[in-house]
This record gives sequence, C-alpha cells and structure tokens, in this order.
Amino acid sequence: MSRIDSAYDWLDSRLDLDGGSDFLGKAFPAEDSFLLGEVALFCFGILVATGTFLAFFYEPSTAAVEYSGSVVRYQGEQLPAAFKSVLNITYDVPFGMFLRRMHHWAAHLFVASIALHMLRVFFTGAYRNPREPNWLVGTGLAGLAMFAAYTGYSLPYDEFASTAVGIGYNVAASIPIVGDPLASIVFGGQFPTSATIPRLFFLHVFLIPAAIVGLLAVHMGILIRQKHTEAQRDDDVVPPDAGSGAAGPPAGTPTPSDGAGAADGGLPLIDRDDDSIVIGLPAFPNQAAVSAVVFFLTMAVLSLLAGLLPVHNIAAYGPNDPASTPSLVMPDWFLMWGYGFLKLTPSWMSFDVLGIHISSEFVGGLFLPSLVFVAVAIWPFIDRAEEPEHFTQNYLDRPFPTATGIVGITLVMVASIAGMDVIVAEILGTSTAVLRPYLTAAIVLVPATAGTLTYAILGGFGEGGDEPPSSEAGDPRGSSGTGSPSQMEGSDDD
Amino acid sequence: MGDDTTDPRPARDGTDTPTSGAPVDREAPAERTDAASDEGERCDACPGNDNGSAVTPSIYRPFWADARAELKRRDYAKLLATVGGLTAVGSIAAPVAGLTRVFDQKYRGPVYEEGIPLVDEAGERIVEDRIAPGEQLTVFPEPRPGIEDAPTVLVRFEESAYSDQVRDEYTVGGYAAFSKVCTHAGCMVADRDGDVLVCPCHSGRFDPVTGAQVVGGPPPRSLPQLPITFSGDGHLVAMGDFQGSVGPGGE
Repeated sequence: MSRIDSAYDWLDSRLDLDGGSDFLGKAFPAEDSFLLGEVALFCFGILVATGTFLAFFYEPSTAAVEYSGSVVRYQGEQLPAAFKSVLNITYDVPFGMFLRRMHHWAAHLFVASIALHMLRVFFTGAYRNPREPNWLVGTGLAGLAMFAAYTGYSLPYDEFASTAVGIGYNVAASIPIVGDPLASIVFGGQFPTSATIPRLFFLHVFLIPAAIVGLLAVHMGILIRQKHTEAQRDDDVVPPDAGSGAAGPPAGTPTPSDGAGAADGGLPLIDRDDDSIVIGLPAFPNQAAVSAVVFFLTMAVLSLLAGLLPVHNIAAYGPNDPASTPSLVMPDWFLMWGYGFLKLTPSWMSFDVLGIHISSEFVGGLFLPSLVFVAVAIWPFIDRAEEPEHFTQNYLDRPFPTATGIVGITLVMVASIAGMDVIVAEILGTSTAVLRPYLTAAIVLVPATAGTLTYAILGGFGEGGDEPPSSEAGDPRGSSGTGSPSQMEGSDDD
Repeated sequence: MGDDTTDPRPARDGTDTPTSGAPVDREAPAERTDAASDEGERCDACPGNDNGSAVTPSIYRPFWADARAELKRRDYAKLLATVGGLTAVGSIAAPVAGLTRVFDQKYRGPVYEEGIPLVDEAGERIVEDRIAPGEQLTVFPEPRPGIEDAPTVLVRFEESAYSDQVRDEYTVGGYAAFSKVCTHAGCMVADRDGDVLVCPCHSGRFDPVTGAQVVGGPPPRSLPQLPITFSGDGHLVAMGDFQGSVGPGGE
C-alpha cells in the first residue's frame, strides 16, 4: 500500500470520503456556454487573492500625508493617504502594478461573465421551474458584484473615484425618507468626510465579499441539489424515426405539434425526452479537467490584460480636487446604463408627493435601475413553467421571452450610450444638449422597435402556439441517473 | 352528523380523535336535545364534553366560551417565542441606529459673508480686468471654511447680456458669480458650451445670463448666485452668502 493510499484510508476512516464519492459522478452537460458561471467563480477567486495582496498595502484614510515615492510629479506633495498608498502599490511594491491591474481587470471580467451567464440562462429559459430560486440568488450576486465594483472604484480616492463617490452619496441621500440615515451609515456622513473611505473599504473587503461567498454557496448548493439543465438532445440516442423535428438547433422551424410522444422503445438507450437523467461529463475527472482549463484560460486572459493594458492610471488622474470635476468623468461600463438614466432624467422629475421630496437623481440613479433589477428578479414568475423543466429551450422557439430579453439588452445599451453622451457628442461634433432629445427618444423607441421586430421575426404574431417544445411531461421514471457518468453526445447528424 | 363534518374547529389532538368513532354516532341524538338549550354555555374545551357534534356555529356565542379562541399549550409557546424572538431581533437591530452617528460634521455656517474677498486658486484677489467678457474663472472665499461648498464660478459678460431674471445688484462690471456645485449630484460645473455652463457628470446645463437657470439636463434648480460688488480698493467682494442652498438637496 502506497503512502498516498494509506493517507487516503486515514482520512476516509474519519471523514467517510467514499460515502461522498457520489458527487464525483455529478454530470456536467458539455455545453461551452455553461462555463460562463465558472469563469465568474474563478474571477472571484482571483479577486480575493489579488485583493488580499493589495489590502496589505492599502491605507483606508483620506488624511493628508507627504508623498515620497517614485512618482516625481507628486514628490513632497501632501496627498490623501489612500491615494498615496495606491501610488506606492503601483510604482514601488514589486509586482504591485501588475496585481492591481489584474484585480481591476478581474473585477471587469467578473461582472462581464456574470452578465453573460445571466443572458445565457435567460435566453435558454433555464430560470424556469424549478430554478427560480437560483435565478433570484444569481440576481442578488449580480447586484453585489456591481456594488463591490463601485466600492472598489472609490478606494484610490483619485479625482475620478471621489467624483464617483460623491455622485453615489448624493444618489443614496436622495432616497425619500431613509436616504439621509442610509447615506450616513454607508458614507459616514455628508461626503466628503474622513469616515467615507474607511467604511467603503470595510464594505469592499469584508461585508460584500462575505455576502458574495454566502450567496455563491447557496447558488452552488441549489445547483447541485437541482442538477444541471441540459440542452435539447439531438436525436442520436433514439431510433432515427422517432424524432419529430421540433427544435433541432440548426433547423429552427417552430412546429407547434411536438408532443411528448417521442417513441421510447425498449432500447437501453436514453430517450431524448427523458428528463430524469442528465447527460454530461462526470465532475471528476472530466469536468475537473475542463474547469482547470477554464481557470487557466481565465488567468491567462487576465494576466495578458493586466500586463499589456494599463487601466485606471491614478497618477495621471491626480488626487481628489474638491474644486473641480474632470470633463470626461464616467463610471465603469457596467454602471454606465445607470449613469445614462441619471443623465436622461429630466428635471421635472423632481417633485413633491405628500410632503416627500422625490428628486430626479433618485428617479434616474436608483428608481429606474432598481426597476430593471426588479424586472429581472421577478421574470421567472412571469414566464412560468407549470411542470419542472429539465431541458433548456431554444430561444428561437420563445418569441415573447426572447423579445423581452432583446428589449432589456437594447435598453441597457442605449442607456449606456446616453451615459457616454460626452464622447458621442465629441465624435459627432455636436453638444450633449443637442443629443439629448434624440437619446431620450432612442431609449424608448429602440428597445420597443427591437423587441417588436424580434417578436415578429420569431413568429410571435403569426402562430397562436406558445413555446412548442415545453412539453416534457414530468413522468416520474424510477431511474436516478445523474450519478452515472454518461457519454458525451457526439451528434453530427443533419 | 352533518355538523360533525362541517365543524370549523381545527383538527383535534390525538386524544380526541377516538371519540369520533362509532360511540359518538350512538350518543348523538340524546346530546342534541341537551345542547339546544345551553348551546352558548357548552364547554367545548372540556374533553368529556367534547364530541363536537351538537355545536351549531353562531355569532351570538360568547367568544370567551369559544374553543377556537382558547389558548393551548402550543399557542402559549408560539406566543412566547414570537415575543421573545422579536425582542431579541429588536435588541440586535437597535444598535444599528448608532451607525448613523456622524463625527466628521460638515461645516454648516455661511460660505461667504459681506465683504469677504473672492480669490482665485492661488489666493490672489480678483481685480476688474482679470477676465474678459466670455471667460470664466473658479474662485473661492478668501478664508475657506467648508471647502466643498466654496467653489464659485465667476463669469463675465457684457452688462447688457444679462436678462431681467438677474437682479442688477448681484452683478457688477459684467461679472456674475454662481456656486460651482451642481444642484443635481454635487459635481463641479466645470465645463462650458458656448455661453452655457455644463456639468460634466450628467450634462446638466445652466445659463449664467439668466441667473444660472437650468436650461437642460436633470438638475432640479438653478445654481445659487453670489451677490458681488467691487470693494473700495478695486477687487471683487461678496455682499452676502449664496442666494439659495448650495449643492444637491435643499430648496
């Protein structure tokens, strides 16, 4: 018996490892788009690792200290301690610049992969019964990721960061009734104060990550408990005559007459409609190897970005200047849509109701973006499935949800363009005031048009049949098949 | 027996259920005559009395004799657990209110007062030919309490350019001064598009010749104006504080 075996036996006798080995057979459907969530997970790990490094050097304070690092421009100047410490990380700590940029890029990729992951789940209808709870948890994670990014953005206390914090403070304080106490709690008093940065630092490095870890655990727990969704199987596991050409991905012809009655002969093959079995790679070793590749690719991409693309160059931005605001100030791309809402909200949206003041920065900065988040959160309860679903849906067969998704995407994109109106105005050689009515019109018309077009193209108006392939009648078959590592579907028919 | 099935009372505990068997059926007719007379007084809670067969639900029954209103052991436990739990949650939540305590109080006094000179970033006072019409400059009160409210944008136009909305005594020599803090989200109104002051954050627009009224974008109200004049020795001084509250919020 080798030493490894005896070590394993020692652990097994205490932790019953063999009893838990079922998990190693958990099936992961071999869909590339299913790996987006993993990218997000790995980004979070990288964020924690690089963030720990940064936190060892970062000073959460705005007190003025004299700078004596290697940036000549600020030599001997009084700078906020936070700004000074980030300068030190960037220019004097070995590998500091690389790890700081990596942290920055990982944050971007974290949010981006979460967004893409959500879009994947949305367009494949994977949020439906029974996965509504996990969609809610995921929505919470997306919100937390954005909040984490906002608090992190504020920490260097450069000119852009302080502007962002200031806007955030004013938006928070503009919430009717609870705004003032809430802003006092989060920002430690009327911004700017010496309490702001320490509180945002604590939120950024402890509370928000802890909440993310908690929700991630729930997210994973639900995933394991409910098992993966799976793409519609091609006909390769059933007799060739049985497939009623419903939703073959390349065909894309919605025939409303699908019926659950795909023949299941007495063959030992898995029926293509059998939703009691997940066909996929076993967690170990196959999926573990895939995940390792995903992890290393994520690391590689982030290293490449961090090494080659400078980002948030605070030495050029300069420390917080209370008497000015840079003319090209804008948030990171994933907050740009909220920024666009802030810009497009007209001033008449400041009004009083029953003695409560509703301000335009509340409407634009919080109310409208919250509506988008609420719409995302309650969507699984609007597009419901009565029976638990195992297979993902083809977005071409779901005119209404797909059109709604297109509305959401175009809305966010137009709002983001509105957030960048300064750049757009510069490119078009005009002013933001000229653009404004067009942008306001676009934010209503473009999503409406795109949604209607999508709906029409997918045949939403034509046929009365909704969602043809939604008929996996959940007949309870006895087999509990997820434990068995099944074959990959190597389908190249039609 | 129909009464038995429609009895709205919650399911009985295990001890009661045996009585609902055959013996009940036999006894029921005798009980019914009894029950009709003292229906309101029947002790529904007493186990011996309680086969539930003869009770006709009635709104006239005194509620205190109603078995449905009776607290059982389990109800007491639930009540105590609820009260205790809420107390515990409350006592944990109460200290959260302490988080609103702010130590770093913002300066709340006047930013300008009568006679306070306006200075540029370098601390130099503003003389009459400092800027030409059409230009602008960021100025501050010479002593600077509450620095975040202090930035002031000083513009100059031909005196005839100002509209009626600007009170004559607030401007002098073509100069007008406004708070630089945007009334929308508190950014500095640092950009300019022609004669219009533009906030770089959300493209709020203020027209200085009409008293920095909002002419576009989300800001809810105009930038407060600072009444200015020339002092005896020829530099700009304030004649008082801003005419309105500085920055977002406020009226």
